[in-house]
Amino acid sequence: MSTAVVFTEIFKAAMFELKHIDKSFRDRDDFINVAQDLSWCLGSGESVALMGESGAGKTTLMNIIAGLDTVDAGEVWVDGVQIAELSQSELTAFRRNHIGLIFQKFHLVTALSAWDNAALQARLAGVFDQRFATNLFEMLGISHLAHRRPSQLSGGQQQRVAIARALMHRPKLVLADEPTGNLDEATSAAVIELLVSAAADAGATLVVVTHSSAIASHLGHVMRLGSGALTPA
Amino acid sequence: MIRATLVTLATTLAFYRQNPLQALFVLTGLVLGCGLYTAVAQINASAKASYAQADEILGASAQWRITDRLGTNVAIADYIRLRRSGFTNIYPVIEKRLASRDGALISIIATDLLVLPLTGAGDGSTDDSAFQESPFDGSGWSRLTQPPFEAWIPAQTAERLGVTEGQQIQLREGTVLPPAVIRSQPQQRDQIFIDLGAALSIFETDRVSYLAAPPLTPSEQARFVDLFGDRLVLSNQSEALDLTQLTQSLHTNLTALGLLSFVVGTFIVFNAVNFSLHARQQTLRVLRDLGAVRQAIVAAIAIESLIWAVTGALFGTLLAQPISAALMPAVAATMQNIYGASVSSLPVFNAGLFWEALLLALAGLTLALVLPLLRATVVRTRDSSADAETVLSQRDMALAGAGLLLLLIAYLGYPLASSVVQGFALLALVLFAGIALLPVAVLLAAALGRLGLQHHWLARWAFADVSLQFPHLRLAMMALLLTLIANIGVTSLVGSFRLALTDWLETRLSADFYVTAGVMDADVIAGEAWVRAAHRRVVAETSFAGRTMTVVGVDVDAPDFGPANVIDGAPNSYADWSAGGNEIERVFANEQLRYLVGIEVGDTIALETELGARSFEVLGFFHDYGNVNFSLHLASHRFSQLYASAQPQGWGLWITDDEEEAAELGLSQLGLEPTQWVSQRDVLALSLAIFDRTFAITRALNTLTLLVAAVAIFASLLAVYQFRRPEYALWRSLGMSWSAFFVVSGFPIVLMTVVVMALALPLGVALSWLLIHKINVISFGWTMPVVVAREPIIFLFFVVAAVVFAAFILASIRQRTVVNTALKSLAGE
Repeated sequence: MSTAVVFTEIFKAAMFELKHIDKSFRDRDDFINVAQDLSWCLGSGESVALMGESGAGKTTLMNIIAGLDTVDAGEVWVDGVQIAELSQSELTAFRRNHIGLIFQKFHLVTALSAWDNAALQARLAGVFDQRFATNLFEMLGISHLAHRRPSQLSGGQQQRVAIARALMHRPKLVLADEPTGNLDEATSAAVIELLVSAAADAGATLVVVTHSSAIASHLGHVMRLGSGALTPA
Repeated sequence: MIRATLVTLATTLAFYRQNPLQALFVLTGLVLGCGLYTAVAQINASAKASYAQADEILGASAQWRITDRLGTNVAIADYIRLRRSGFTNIYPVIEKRLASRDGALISIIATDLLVLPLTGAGDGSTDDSAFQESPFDGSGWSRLTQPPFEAWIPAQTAERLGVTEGQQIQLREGTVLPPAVIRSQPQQRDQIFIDLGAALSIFETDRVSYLAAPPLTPSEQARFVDLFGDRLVLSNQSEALDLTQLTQSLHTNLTALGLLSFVVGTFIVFNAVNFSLHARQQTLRVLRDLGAVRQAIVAAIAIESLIWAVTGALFGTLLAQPISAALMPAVAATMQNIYGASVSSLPVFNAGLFWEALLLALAGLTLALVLPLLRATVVRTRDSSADAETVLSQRDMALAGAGLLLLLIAYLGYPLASSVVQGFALLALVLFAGIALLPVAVLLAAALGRLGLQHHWLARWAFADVSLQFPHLRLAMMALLLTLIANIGVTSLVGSFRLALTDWLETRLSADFYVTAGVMDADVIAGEAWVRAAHRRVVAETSFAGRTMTVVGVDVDAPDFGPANVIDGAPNSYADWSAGGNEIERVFANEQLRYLVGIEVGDTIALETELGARSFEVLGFFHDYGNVNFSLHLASHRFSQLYASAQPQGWGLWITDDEEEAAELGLSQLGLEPTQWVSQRDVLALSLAIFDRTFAITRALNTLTLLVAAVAIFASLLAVYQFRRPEYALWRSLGMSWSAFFVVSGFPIVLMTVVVMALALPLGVALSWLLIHKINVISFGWTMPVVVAREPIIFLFFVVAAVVFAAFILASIRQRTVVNTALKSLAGE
């Protein structure tokens, strides 16, 4: 199938839309075909798990949606904006205001406290809300850790701080790449539940890249990426 | 083991193929460090080689020197009488140090080549590359000795003065030297050689500076004393002023600056090696997992170091050649201006210095490798990030304690230090104390800033980032601190010296005009309306405690010496001095007699006079900046009795206000040529020009060390950026603008630089205090007030800020591209 068009919620406003995108790259001797005439549209408030084999290009696809990577052909629309047409600084500002990112390795700023880390993007966007932040910390169960540095937190605690950071500026789209990849099973389940419910409370669209079916089961839909195409699982 | 070592070596060296920039930094640090050290060592060796030839003149032995008992100049008639008495090995020498019309300093030596007892010892001399033919061959001899004569100028001197073959140099007072010929005699050094007959004619004199002689037998010496002892003095040059000893301080100073350069270079190497080992930690871990024993890894790194050391020393020695060639003229000027030592301005290549550079490079690399190596090969049992929460680690606290201890030792040791080496040990204590105090100063400043601005999240972040960047920049900042302390110290020293010299010149040269030649009648000059005061200064020279002693006849009412110039004299000392003594003469002595011989107020000195041996009581002292000789001021009415035949040195004329033009006209009307007087303004300008040339070497070395420190910062910043690239990518992924990015990432370096400056200021002033009040006194016997001028230090801080900013900009140039690329791999990490 050369074209995969999936409309998960045709009647809802599209949060992002990939239109006939091509993306491939060469990694040493391997040719990775991430997307070939791939189209995908996801509505506001939806949550979806993005699965696939290792090397299928899940992270690259997520990077494309986040504006961290570019496509070879096609269009990427996020919240009604064609991000390929944005300059680097416009793209940075767009990401700052509209997108929340969560990484497998948490990527917290080691010099800052948990509170400052979580508040970072909201402060950069100029939308930091003390009450919302306090509620979010309570909801994620990390209020008592607010003054600790990342080095004084466990992996699960660090990822909760990263989730708080991704939601603190009330983004419309949250992209998480293997958010539980560094956590044990019990902690993974707790963290993903918190992420899904916090994103839902905030009304954010959530895309989670994962290998785990258990994690995927917490999300509204599951999509599988392979051979440049995206199919519902 | 050998196989494992070779495999490990090949694997670890592969890193440099992937990261050629890192290889460049290791090499840059080594080459700059070795290069500067070798250049300075080469300059020292060249100057010392010149001293070894100090008792030779133009290839002839000059072990003995004959001077007039009452003055330095010897009449040609005395020379002729000596030769007629059988002293045929004696030859006359005129030595002059003058300024050319455009202000360049030139040394002239003149002798009679025909009577020169050439030893052949100078044939192998290295500074006589232009000496290709015997002066007695062909017509060369006749051209030198017959009008219009010739001035033989060594090639490097001609180049310095911008003189071409056939050109005639005009001196400041109007005298024109014979046409230039680019060639030189052995040991001619930086001097212009002319025939004695030409010199006597050009300088319109019938006296020579001194007579020189090769070794004399005891019977010859005895016969000389019998025949000429009443008029002439015979002195053995090997017992005279020891140039090596005299210039020891400057050489120690230069060596210290050279070592400082090397230390700063070692900081770069340390950083680069540390980074390259850190970047290869994963590789080393894999090698260990694959069975490479620790010894094989250590051996591989040792071999790698040896390769670096040999390469660094080789290129460093090559780099030293142009550096020493560029600096040598300034050193030669320093030697001549301060010590009166004639030194070639062409450095001598010394292959032995390569091995010295290699040893230093190996020592530096070993130092740089020990800690990183231990870190790289020992499996860590504890996460260092656990320390991140504490403001200061135990190591930082211990280091600060050590710094304070070093300062305390320096403070307690200050009164005890009595040699140049001990003086420099005090300087080293101050420098190391600065290094030890830096981490605590930076981290405390960051913690305080964070506390003070805790309500501003971006400021809190920027201050917090200091503790993350500092470990990477710590060594570069230490290098900058060392350089800055040395710069402030030397800048203050030179500034103090310059101010002291200006004060001294204005006091000693307070007359508006100096009439240097010609005859003026005292009564006539006193009657001129434009003359406020006119005094003559008369000088006699003798010897005391192995140095020349100048006795100066000073008019008691002359404006250039008064009670204000007397140090530590009794309240009525000036009146006593003015009155003069009867049985014991009363004098004021220069500080050199106090510091170098231990003469105190009330002590007496026995000196030969024309009335026989007399005792001189010291009533007080006066500053005598930069004088290498001892000096006494004696009231002129007593002087004229004790040294009746001493020749007056000329007139000092003080003129009434704004009568300069009238004075010049008046002097012309008195029959003087314009070349026979000089204005105070001209003398001051010339003196300060000599001074500035003298300290050119210090400025050049300071600039070079600053450059090396800038490279260290640049290299460290690149390392910081490489280490923290994923973190920086994260900042951007969160939507951080470039301006906020550079504020947060650039602020730590601003804070560190400010702390370095704040720490360098008091320590630099302490350094200049030590240089002036300890090392200067030990070496030269005179002191001066420490003057910390604001302007040069502010300028220095601006330069440092600009240098650091430039390093930051250069290191940040590729940041945008690199961070944007890193963004793509952020999620996949």
